[in-house]
Amino acid sequence: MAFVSALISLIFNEFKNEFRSKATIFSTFLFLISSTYLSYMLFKGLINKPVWSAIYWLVFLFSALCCALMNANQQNRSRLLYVYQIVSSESFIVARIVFYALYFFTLGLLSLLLWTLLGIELYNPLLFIQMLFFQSIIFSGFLSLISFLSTKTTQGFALMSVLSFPILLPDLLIVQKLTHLLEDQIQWAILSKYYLALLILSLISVGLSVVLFPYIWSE
Amino acid sequence: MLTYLSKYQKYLCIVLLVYTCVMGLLGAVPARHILNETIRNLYFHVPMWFAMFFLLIVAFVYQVKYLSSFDLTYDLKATSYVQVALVFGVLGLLTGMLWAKFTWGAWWVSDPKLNGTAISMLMYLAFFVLRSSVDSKVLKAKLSSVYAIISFVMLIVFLIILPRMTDSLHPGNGGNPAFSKYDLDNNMRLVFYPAVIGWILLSNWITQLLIRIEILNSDV
Repeated sequence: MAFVSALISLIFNEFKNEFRSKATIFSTFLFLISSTYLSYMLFKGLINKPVWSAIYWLVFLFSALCCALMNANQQNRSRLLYVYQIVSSESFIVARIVFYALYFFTLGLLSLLLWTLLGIELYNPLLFIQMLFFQSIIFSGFLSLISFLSTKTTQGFALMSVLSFPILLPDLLIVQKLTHLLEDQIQWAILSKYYLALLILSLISVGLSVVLFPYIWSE
Repeated sequence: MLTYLSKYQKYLCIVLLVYTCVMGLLGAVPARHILNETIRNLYFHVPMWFAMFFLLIVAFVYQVKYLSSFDLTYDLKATSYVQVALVFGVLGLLTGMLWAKFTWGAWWVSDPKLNGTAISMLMYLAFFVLRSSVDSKVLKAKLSSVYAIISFVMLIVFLIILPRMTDSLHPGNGGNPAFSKYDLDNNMRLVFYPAVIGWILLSNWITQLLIRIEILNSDV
């Protein structure tokens, strides 16, 4: 029970911290909106569903990276030291993962809303949102670990993208393929395999970061 | 694990590789359409990947050992294994590209197997970038072991998932004649299995030498 209450207060704290520094949160959302609009302008007339899905997931990837890095940079040493003394590493990383997952999910939904306004119509929004949900969990699992890892080094964003691109690629390929299948109105029997793959990947990503985080946390 | 390679293993490695080179280039192979003599690449290209995987698995074991004991020697060994694995990966890519040029007509195609290799090489290159961007030895070892464990797990996932996503031109996928099913007759088997063992022994031998040099250079 203590674990759960610590978890809830940590998640609450993460949100409070994020909202306190308005520059970070606004710049993340603005980054998402402007890159979406930029690609809308640049790809005007060329956008069909496959192109759209590639753009959508790329923008999602970059805004997630941007968000995770800014958030990790903002955690200063003294606050981390304070948190280190009062909670266990597991509850800290789980809180971080939940926070990022909710954040990324919101970013993805906002981007989807924007694209809907710009004239993209999805065949099955509900299934798409379900996929986005899994995707947010997978991203948050890997990025919460890697962003923490890259704040410990001398380089920032460049290193983080170098480290996370190859790891996130298999999962990006799956969602890209799944987006195509959703738009081609493929039957559920085939789709379910991809959802299963996403579920397994999200378990792997969360599991890996919970298991491995204590080793870099103690530093 | 395999730290002190006995001299018999070295002799075995030399004998097997001499046998591989002689029989691989002169031995009888089945005549296949398009493949023709390029089928001999089986003795050189495929064992490179086996050797790379062997080294990466050993490196993974050392990384786990490092994280459970924080003994820097394990980190040194793991890093040497990854370094040599990358060399074997590059050799595998080069031999594969050469083969592809003569059978598919292009050095590089967008194929799941090829993309998978490219991505796994990127992962392990990122591993070295990460190592070079940290100064403290202990922190370097911790961060890079954590990253290497993630990338190894994702590499396995990648190898399972990716080939199922699309058809592949690569032998063994998508209805293409596989080496193992149709083309690998018993004559070739007699060369292929010794070749795999020989190349793995060689890769391990090189790594042992590298580790000894690194230990001499460091003050661990």
